[in-house]
Amino acid sequence: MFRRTEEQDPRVPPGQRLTRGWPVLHASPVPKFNPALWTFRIWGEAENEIEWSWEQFCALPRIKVHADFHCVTGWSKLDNDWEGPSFREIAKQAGVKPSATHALIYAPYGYTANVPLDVLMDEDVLFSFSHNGEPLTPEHGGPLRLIVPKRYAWKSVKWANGVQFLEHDSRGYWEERGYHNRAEPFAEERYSWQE
Amino acid sequence: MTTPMDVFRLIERADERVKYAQNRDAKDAYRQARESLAEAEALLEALEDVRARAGLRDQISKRRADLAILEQQ
Repeated sequence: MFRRTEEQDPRVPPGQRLTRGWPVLHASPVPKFNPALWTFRIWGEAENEIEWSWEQFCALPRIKVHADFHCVTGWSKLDNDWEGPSFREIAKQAGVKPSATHALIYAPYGYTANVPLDVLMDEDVLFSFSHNGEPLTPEHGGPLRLIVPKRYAWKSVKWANGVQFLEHDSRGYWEERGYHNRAEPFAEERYSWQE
Repeated sequence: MTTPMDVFRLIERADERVKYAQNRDAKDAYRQARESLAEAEALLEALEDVRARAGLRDQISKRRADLAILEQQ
């Protein structure tokens, strides 16, 4: 499953190896998706507190992103196609306040990840419904996964269902468990003691 | 000499067993995760850095609390 051609490919960060497959890993069970009950909530440092239904979320404008994906456990998957609303669109609809500096992204079972707003506002950050043209499968975060290509994959929250805009940083699930707050793969920022 | 990284590597092994549990028998994965945490805890005593020892002990406790929740689901 793994290829060892990373030495030739500058897109592979240090300490990573390429995978042709797509390993499945997460810290909780796979949540059941019911479109009639699903909601996406936005709150915190935003003018508009929002709660979208699945139908409303699906109606948001979409972008397409082609990007690589790096897991802190050591594998990288190159050339992924994602499609869904950009984070910029979500922030625009929410009317994010100038006081907001960070956001916590929420998922079921108490999972969160924190990301600075300037990273989330990059043009390649989106909430994706699909991977390489196919709907995201539940084990890979379907129906909706945040994608933050320039950070290790635990920041790309599976089963995303909420955004809390914050005027300060607040560590998420793995960040509270000894993993790096920023998590930049090319700097190999894996652990909190590197901060 | 034992370093904080040596201890965290064992904690990380426990994390990976939990994260990949969906691909296999979850109960077995959780049992193996607890074994890695016990190994990490045993190694703590060899750490001279008191602050690192306390921080890592807290990390082990967090994982055990997480596992207790997962085992009930």
